Amino acid sequence: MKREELERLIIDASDGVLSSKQIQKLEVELQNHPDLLEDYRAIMNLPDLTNLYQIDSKLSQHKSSIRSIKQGIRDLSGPGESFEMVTLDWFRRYALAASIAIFAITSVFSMVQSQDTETDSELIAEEYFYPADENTTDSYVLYLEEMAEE
Amino acid sequence: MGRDDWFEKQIDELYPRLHRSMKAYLAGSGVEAEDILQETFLKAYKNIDQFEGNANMYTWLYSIARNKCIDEFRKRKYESNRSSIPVEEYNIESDEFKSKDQQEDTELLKEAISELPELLRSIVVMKSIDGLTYPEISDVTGVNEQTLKNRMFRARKQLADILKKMGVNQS
Repeated sequence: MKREELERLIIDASDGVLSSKQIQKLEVELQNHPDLLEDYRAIMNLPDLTNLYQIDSKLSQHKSSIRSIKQGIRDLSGPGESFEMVTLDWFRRYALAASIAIFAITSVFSMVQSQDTETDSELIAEEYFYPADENTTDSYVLYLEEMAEE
Repeated sequence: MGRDDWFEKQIDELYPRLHRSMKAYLAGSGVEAEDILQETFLKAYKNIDQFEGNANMYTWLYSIARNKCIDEFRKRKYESNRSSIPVEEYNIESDEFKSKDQQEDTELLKEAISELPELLRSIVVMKSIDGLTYPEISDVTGVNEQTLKNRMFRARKQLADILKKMGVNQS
């Protein structure tokens, strides 16, 4: 029997798929290969690894990871979702752009307001230094009436 | 049931088992099983058209996850640093019924598995921890069953050597 074939039989034996007769036959064969016989003994004495790691059967332990995966899938699959999800998604995506836009609009609005205030105060100052002469207006109206009569 | 609903159901069913397997495979590497699985499921969803209906969904996901891990190991040059990870980093599930000696042995056993080279470690995890059959492991790795058994021989032999050096009782 070839060495590689014996190695596979040793693995079958350690996996528990060989009958006792087949194991006996294998052990007889291994007498001709002392190094393999030593490996066979070491492998057969390995501890069982089946329960080394337990499955966390409670889904709650994986809940957040699973939720995150599902959310990723929904993001990939695009539109066609509930209104709330779409709104939330749009808000997340465009929150920065929206806040910049709001900031810009309020800035422009306040600038316009401050310009208006400036004009008003300029007029008030002008009127203070150069008060409007009501007589001038009256005489101009009289002058126009005279012109019309002529 | 729509495609998305079906896929979400697969996540609920397969995630816990795949998580256990990845946790064993990645022990001591510093790579998180959760991150790998997140990427795995998203990639699987993107490439769902490549999945053949009669194939095994679990082994298909497993092969994607394993490839993700190998990419991550390459990125981190994991193989060169792996042996320097202290034993304390191997988290052990607390088991009140296990004696202190048994818990230490469990810890060392996990470390011993992580000491194996990737090629051998992946087979040990798939076969001995996850319980996949050789044809299923063949699906994941693309290696024929005979070669897998020869690799398993090398893996178990190395594992026995490592445990012997660690002084773990083998019975």
